[in-house]
Amino acid sequence: MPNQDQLTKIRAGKGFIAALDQSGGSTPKALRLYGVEEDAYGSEAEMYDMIHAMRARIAQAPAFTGDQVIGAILFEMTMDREISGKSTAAYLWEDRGVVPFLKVDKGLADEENGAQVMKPMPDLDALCDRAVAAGIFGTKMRSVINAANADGIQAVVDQQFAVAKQILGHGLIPIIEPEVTISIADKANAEDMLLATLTRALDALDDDQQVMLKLTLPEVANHYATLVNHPRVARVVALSGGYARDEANSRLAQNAGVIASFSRALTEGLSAQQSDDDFNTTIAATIGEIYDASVAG
Amino acid sequence: MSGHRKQTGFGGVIFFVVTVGLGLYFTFASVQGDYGLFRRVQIRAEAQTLTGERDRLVAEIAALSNKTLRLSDDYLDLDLLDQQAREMLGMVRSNEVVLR
Repeated sequence: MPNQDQLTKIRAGKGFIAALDQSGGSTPKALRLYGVEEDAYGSEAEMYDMIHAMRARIAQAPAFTGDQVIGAILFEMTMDREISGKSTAAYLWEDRGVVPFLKVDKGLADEENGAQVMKPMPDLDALCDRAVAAGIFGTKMRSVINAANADGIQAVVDQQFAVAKQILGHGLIPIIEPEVTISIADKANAEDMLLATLTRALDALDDDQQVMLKLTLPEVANHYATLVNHPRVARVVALSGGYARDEANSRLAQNAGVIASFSRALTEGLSAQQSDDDFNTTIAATIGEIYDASVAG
Repeated sequence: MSGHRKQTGFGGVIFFVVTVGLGLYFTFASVQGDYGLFRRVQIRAEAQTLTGERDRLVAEIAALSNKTLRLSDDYLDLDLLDQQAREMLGMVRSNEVVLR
């Protein structure tokens, strides 16, 4: 059974959902952006320690609280580590009021019918058990739609909801993320098909089941309004998918009830060499900007 | 006051032959020639093919530009970074087992 306080926060909280860090494979890139060159660490373990130190510094910044950041999406490695002596998820919720989510997908399969479904997740049940034990509230899994193809979109939604039911069985709230690529010519058509397919799948859920949706900012304002108000949907969050920040914020403002869940690292403008004051000031500005866009909708 | 010289028929024949010849030539040229109908149909088909190719390339450029932006230093989309690290670099997380 999901934590009711966390569910209330997610349903009604003002703010956005942040992506707190990145996967192991892409850590050198994020560290380099943070000002830590590859010669600063000698082993992979040291590299992960450094990235965790950066992550802890972000999570401990005064502005990183539930007042503006209602949720944070963690990678598995982050969930297994600690901040201030607590598991990351427990620290985020108990000390910062931020609802912790876990990214559970293992990458995408090859494109078929204009869409990429998720690769199989054979150890999902074990992962969900660990997540529940660590105090995680929900999960996130991503597929990609590259064309207005009914078969491809149906395959993506079918798989997402099948895995979502598996996750709901563990008492976790799944974030379903069928990303529509923003550069395709028939994006509006793809979004129409996706809306119809998602609605059918949501109507088929049991009355006591709830999911969250993470959707690309649509071409038509308030395109997903019926999903925002659907009884089986706890919250609809938006992903920018490549829109520049200003365009993403203006599109977000046109979609009432939708909050941001930008996957962009919060590390923009941050560096290891900054003083704590500079670091906290910079991240407060970044958080404030995305928060304003989220509540403007 | 007759004053008319007697016309010989030979000039008319030449005129007729030249006219019909030119007519046939121009008819042939307008259909088969370098600027004729068939060539026009061929060029239009080529234009259509090239337009399709151009649109495909424009879509491909748009997709790559989107990915480039999302992996750039001032944007860094973590989901796409995770996806590309797996797809392009063949990376997996340390606790994952790859089944071939």
